[in-house]
Amino acid sequence: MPVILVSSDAQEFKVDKEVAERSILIKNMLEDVGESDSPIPLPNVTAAVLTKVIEYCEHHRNDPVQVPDETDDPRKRSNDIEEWDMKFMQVDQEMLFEIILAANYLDIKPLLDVGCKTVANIIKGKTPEEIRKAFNIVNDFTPEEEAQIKKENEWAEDR
Amino acid sequence: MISSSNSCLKRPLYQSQCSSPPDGPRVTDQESTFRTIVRASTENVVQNIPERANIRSSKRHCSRPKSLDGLPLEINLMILSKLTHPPDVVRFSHTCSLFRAMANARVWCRLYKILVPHWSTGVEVQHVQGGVDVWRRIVMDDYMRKKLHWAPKSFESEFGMFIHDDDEAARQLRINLDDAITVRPQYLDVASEVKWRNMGPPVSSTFSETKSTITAYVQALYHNGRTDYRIVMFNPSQHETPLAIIPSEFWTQSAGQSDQETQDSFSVAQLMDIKQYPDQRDERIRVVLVIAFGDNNGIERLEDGEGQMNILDTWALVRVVELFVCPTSPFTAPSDVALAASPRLIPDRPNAHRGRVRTFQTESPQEVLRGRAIKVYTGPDPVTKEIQERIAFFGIRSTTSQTVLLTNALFGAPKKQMSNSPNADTFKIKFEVLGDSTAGRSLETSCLALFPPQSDFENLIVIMDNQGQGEIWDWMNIKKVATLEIAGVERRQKQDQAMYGIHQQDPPLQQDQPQESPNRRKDLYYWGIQVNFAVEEPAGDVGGTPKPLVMAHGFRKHGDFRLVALADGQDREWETTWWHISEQELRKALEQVLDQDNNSSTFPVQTSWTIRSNSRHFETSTLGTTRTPTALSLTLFSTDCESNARPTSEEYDLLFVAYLVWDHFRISLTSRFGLCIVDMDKEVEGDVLDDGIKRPPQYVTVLDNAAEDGLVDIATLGDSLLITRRFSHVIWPFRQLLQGEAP
Repeated sequence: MPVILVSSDAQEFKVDKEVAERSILIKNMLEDVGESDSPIPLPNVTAAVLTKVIEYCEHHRNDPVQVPDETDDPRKRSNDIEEWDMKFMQVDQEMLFEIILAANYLDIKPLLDVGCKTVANIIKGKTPEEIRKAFNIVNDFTPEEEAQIKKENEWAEDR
Repeated sequence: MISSSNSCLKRPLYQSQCSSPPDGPRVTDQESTFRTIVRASTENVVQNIPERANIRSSKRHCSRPKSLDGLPLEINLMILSKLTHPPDVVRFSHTCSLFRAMANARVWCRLYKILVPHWSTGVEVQHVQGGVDVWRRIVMDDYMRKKLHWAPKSFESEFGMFIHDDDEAARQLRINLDDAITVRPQYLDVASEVKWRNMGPPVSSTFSETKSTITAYVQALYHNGRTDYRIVMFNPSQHETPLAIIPSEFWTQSAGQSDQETQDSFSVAQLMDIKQYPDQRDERIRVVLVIAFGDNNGIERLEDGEGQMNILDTWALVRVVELFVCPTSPFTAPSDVALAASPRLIPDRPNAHRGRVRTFQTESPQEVLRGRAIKVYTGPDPVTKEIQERIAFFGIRSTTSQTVLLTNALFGAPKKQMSNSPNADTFKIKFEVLGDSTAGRSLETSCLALFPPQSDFENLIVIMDNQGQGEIWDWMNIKKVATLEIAGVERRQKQDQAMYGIHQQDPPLQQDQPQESPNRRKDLYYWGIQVNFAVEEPAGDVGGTPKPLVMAHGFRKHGDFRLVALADGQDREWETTWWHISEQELRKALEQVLDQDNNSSTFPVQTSWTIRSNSRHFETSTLGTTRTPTALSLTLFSTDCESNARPTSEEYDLLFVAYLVWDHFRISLTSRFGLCIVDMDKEVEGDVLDDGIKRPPQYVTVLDNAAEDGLVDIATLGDSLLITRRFSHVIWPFRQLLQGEAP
């Protein structure tokens, strides 16, 4: 049975229930209301972002549900991203952030995971200044903090 | 299937049926453990975020973020959790105050678990003191240590294969003595005819209030068929200038003729304990030293030329010496603090003052004890409950292999088990057997170890038999706290029973259980056990320059423990076994034992807490890639003599003679004056290496001038490995990489 999702800019998306239920938020809502053809409003997600999210959910519709214990164990955690996911995440930074926010709002943990890994991979190997530049971060350290950081950097930087 | 249209909206679902509004806090029943962790981290971080960062973050929470720090905090925490390379976390935390606050102790502890995945079992944030700074130092230390102090990037294996740097199994930590500090002060008279030799490793005492540490070691001089001893005492940060040199007159002055003869009959002396007290007299610190005299007849497997370790193997005589030393070195300008505290400069160091001396002897000269454990402590008298300075002796009786002990007031009246000899200050020790007195059972012990000094558990001792079965005892109250078992042994016994037709109603072995080789392992002899905190805390000021010889910045109160045991086989096989001891469970078990004792004192307490080993690693031979400190090329040593592909003609068998544990590294003395570090994090549970699989050799550093300055013993002091050589000491700092190593 299809489900109708409504984006913040009033666009409707008709998707299969099993695809929509990759979102734990939507799954819970559907369980709460039972059989209903009412559209589900998603006021925090624009149509452009929702399109991407649905694309992701379509592709991963048959994936097994992640076992929390395994992903939570830092020993078992991997930062590898599947090839399809990597290409899927090749978007501009604003869209990347929007997808992450949508994944968080809709409670799609695998998508949130891939989004965060993508950001982490951009951070890797960069100096603090390069990270600031890449993500528009303002250096708000006090002179005292700067001095302390410089001390820490004496042995940690560029290794 | 996706379809999109601009048709009119129907009544929003959440207005009537939905239990949780879609734009409200998204917390569902399906929240995973991960989210719980993130929430906990978030709460923790929020408390520490600078106000300026907090305002910025909250303002942008619901709007479209233009920068990373505008994303909600829990998302940034998730991003941070994806950074698994410690320098990346450091750099990320150096971008703005928000991210700096996010990189908290929990984040660094998680990184530690990633870096040290096996050994870190059970390690929690609160297990070290000092929070984020300490955790960051621990993680970066470990990362840098592995990065900078690994064995050479590649070497030729015994099969002629070239093992590359990216072969994880081939990467081993090495002790590069070129990085070490050699301590060979002038007072050691190396150039003169009179050569004092070091005996045993230095022993240290840190005073909790001032954090000041003093260290001392024994030296011996052979002349005219007799051995004279002295004790050198120094402040670790000023190791070139001793605080005092204590001549043997301090303890022989009042000794009787028979005492002196007894002492002369032993070939080895070792400092067993040292304790400094705040009590002062004439600006001097009161110090109590415990020296044991015995022999080193236990190193039987070393052949000529393999080594001449002067390790105290058995002892039968103990001297307890009280003295008073000036804590200030005369050759060093006092600091401003010292000047402020004491305006008078000390022109010359006054000699140490002699205090009381006690001599303890076993009941007969034939009764010798193994196990190097004598402890000076402050505790209650068992009868009067009066808190007093006390001494505890532990040992393994050579005749029965039972663990025996005796505690007594340090300089007070002797216990009734002691009998005075003709000399008023000499006492014969009559030991008690550590065991279940009601059942008349005691473990036949092959090794023992005390829990770390000044921890909350210094009243505990672990004893072990040669099969690897162990027990933890509260030696102050003579109560058994736990039993140690080796995982897999029970299964092996069942296999053996089945071979002899003994059948039990036990489930069959699971296919995924590792198959062990009982025939190769059953002849193992467990000869050593060590107890350490699971994570080694940095010493000194973690925010400043590391000081290799400074002791830990405070006394450890929290942390899980690791018990590490080593066994040898009949040939060259050996095994490491370690147990994870949860502090929380240990505390609980101890309380239960004592509570039961208070409730019903007439029956012995039978503890049911059994701890099974976490990891058991077995190898059939000791391979060694060795390098002398000044050698230009590598030399391969191996126990397997069949291979002809080695580039050198010299091949030697290597034996582990003694070992100690620092963090997840086991540091061993080997035969042929070698030092070997093994990363126990790589010794995976169930990893049975007796199937003919050849492993990369271990990296052994061999002292190049061992003939002139042999290897005596090893110990840890603060963040350093202290190598005692016959005429010098060598300090190899584990964390030295953090200073002077800036790129």
